[in-house]
Amino acid sequence: MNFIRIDQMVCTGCGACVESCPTDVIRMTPQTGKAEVAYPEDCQVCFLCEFDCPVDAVLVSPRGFPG
Amino acid sequence: MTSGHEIQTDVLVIGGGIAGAFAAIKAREKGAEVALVDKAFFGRSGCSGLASGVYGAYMPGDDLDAWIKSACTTPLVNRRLAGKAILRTYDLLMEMDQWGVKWVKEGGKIVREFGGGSGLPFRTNAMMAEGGPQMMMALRGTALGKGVEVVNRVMATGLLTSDGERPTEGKVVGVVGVHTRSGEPWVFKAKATVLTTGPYLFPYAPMGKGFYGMPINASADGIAMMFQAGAVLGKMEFGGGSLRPTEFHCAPALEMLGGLGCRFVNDRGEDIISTAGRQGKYSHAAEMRGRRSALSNAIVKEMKAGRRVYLDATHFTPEQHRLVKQVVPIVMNTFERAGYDLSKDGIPYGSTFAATSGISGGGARLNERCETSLPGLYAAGNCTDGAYISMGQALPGSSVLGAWAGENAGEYVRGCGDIPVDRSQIEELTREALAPLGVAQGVTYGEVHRKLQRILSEDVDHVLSGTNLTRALEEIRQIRAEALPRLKAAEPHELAKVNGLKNFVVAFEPALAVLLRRKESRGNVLREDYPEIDDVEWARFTVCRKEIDGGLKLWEEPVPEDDDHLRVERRKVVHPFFL
Repeated sequence: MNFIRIDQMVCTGCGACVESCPTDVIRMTPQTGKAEVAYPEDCQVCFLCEFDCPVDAVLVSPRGFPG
Repeated sequence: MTSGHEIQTDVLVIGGGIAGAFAAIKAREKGAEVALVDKAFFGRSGCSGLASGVYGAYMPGDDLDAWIKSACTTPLVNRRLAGKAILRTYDLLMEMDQWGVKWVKEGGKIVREFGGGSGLPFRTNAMMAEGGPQMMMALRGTALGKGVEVVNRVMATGLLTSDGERPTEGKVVGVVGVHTRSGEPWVFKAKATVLTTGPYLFPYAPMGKGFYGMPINASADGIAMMFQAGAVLGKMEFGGGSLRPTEFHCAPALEMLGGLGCRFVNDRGEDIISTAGRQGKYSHAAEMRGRRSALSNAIVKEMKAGRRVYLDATHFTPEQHRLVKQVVPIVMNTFERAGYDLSKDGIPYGSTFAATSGISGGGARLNERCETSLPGLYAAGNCTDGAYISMGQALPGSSVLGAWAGENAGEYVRGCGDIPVDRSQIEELTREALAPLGVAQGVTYGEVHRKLQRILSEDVDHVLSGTNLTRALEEIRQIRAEALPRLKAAEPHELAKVNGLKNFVVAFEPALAVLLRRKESRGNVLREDYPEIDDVEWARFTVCRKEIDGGLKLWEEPVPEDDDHLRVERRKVVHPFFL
């Protein structure tokens, strides 16, 4: 179950979420220059990435996302 | 073994929650060079920003005696020290206000609400207008502005000692750590080290499976490091009531919700306890209103009877609901995103037993200067035995201890000369920290994690017994001896998790040992084989230390019979839980 989703169309690659995630779930992908969820199993749904994203590209949910 | 990441400083702070922030800022104000190491990102890591968004603070005009009384309901708290801590919360609140922490205000003045957990009949809780995350970012900005050097994403793994030994007979001179992304070793040499690494939680517990807590990587790193280095630990048996939402990791927010008078109801609609003081089903709990262990124990009783328990705030006014959303954004976002509407729905809450979560419990035994038993090593916050010194909340106590630790460490380093560092110990600690990366045919993180989860759910349930605790202790010792050295990690991210899991095991062993030793029930410690609160034998501190020969030494220290401590009425009474 994934609790975090980053909309690759919206992400600007600023790295704010990569910097702030307390459990280090997100990484920059060099190929795309955007933030991607590298360790979805470690997301604690604390919302800090959502708060820090300047363009609302990140979404977390304690119920998880299908798929 | 090192690749050039070596830092030397006067005061080294490890951990970036409220205790670490205050330690760093106050040591800097004393003129010391300060470095702060965080295994995540200072300002976004730790428990503080994720907590209840309130800061119980004394204000001039308050009844100080009532404050002290609320903090000292057991003889195990030093009253004079609690009084000093309570007075200091006002200064720290005002400083945080100057530093840009946003408080709920009226007419330019900070307003306070009633405090859940305090039991005080007057308003105590200053409220963060944009929640804990804003508070921590303001503290981060202040620390950086004052010249604190911050190193993020380095997980400290072992304390350096002047004699190169662990346990040491010398002093603590820094720490070795590993970068959680690059896997590169880091060395920090320091004249004084302040540990503010938070509580022990069963790390990375699966959501909704009973063991919860945020952040999920609060794995007792500091407590384990101190234990390995030979520091005396205290209050390890009093983990504290882990009364929380059962479906999520988020904080319970009871300092805020309890203060506003939320209720707990069971699935028959019965009011279990009202934190606003109404007589509920368990009157003993109502008598001790606001005290987390009583709440938690009443909920355990309901759970044992097969009933579900819900937090009920449907009677809050629209204004109160708006306030809660503002002050506790993470918790309220969690509820909302999960489909709960706090104004209409009950939220499932439950309790896990204290030993699985040293939230309000033990750690380094501190003296009045926030020194541990090891020279050069200070500690503050939830990795110590003093986090709840000022009232039933962690943030005020942790901030005051952090400030004291920083100030005292800042003064201590003035008299220190060169830092004696043993190169072979640096290599040994680095090797140890990186070892799981080199294990090919070992045990996986998942295997050990599942084993621990089984022990926690089968043997360390809400109600404890000597038989179960003995079994759990034996199993933990077996894991420590056999599984930990063979744990493998594929890459640096997994390495940080593996090292965290190791730390949890290292810290959990003395916690189980002191639980087994304390032959009574008290607070959240419920022993079916010893159901009495026994002030005749057990109004004492149980402390422990790893000896030079590697053995675990446990002993009791009496509560001093002085004016600083509550005089104990020596009697045995059955713990209310067993009535």
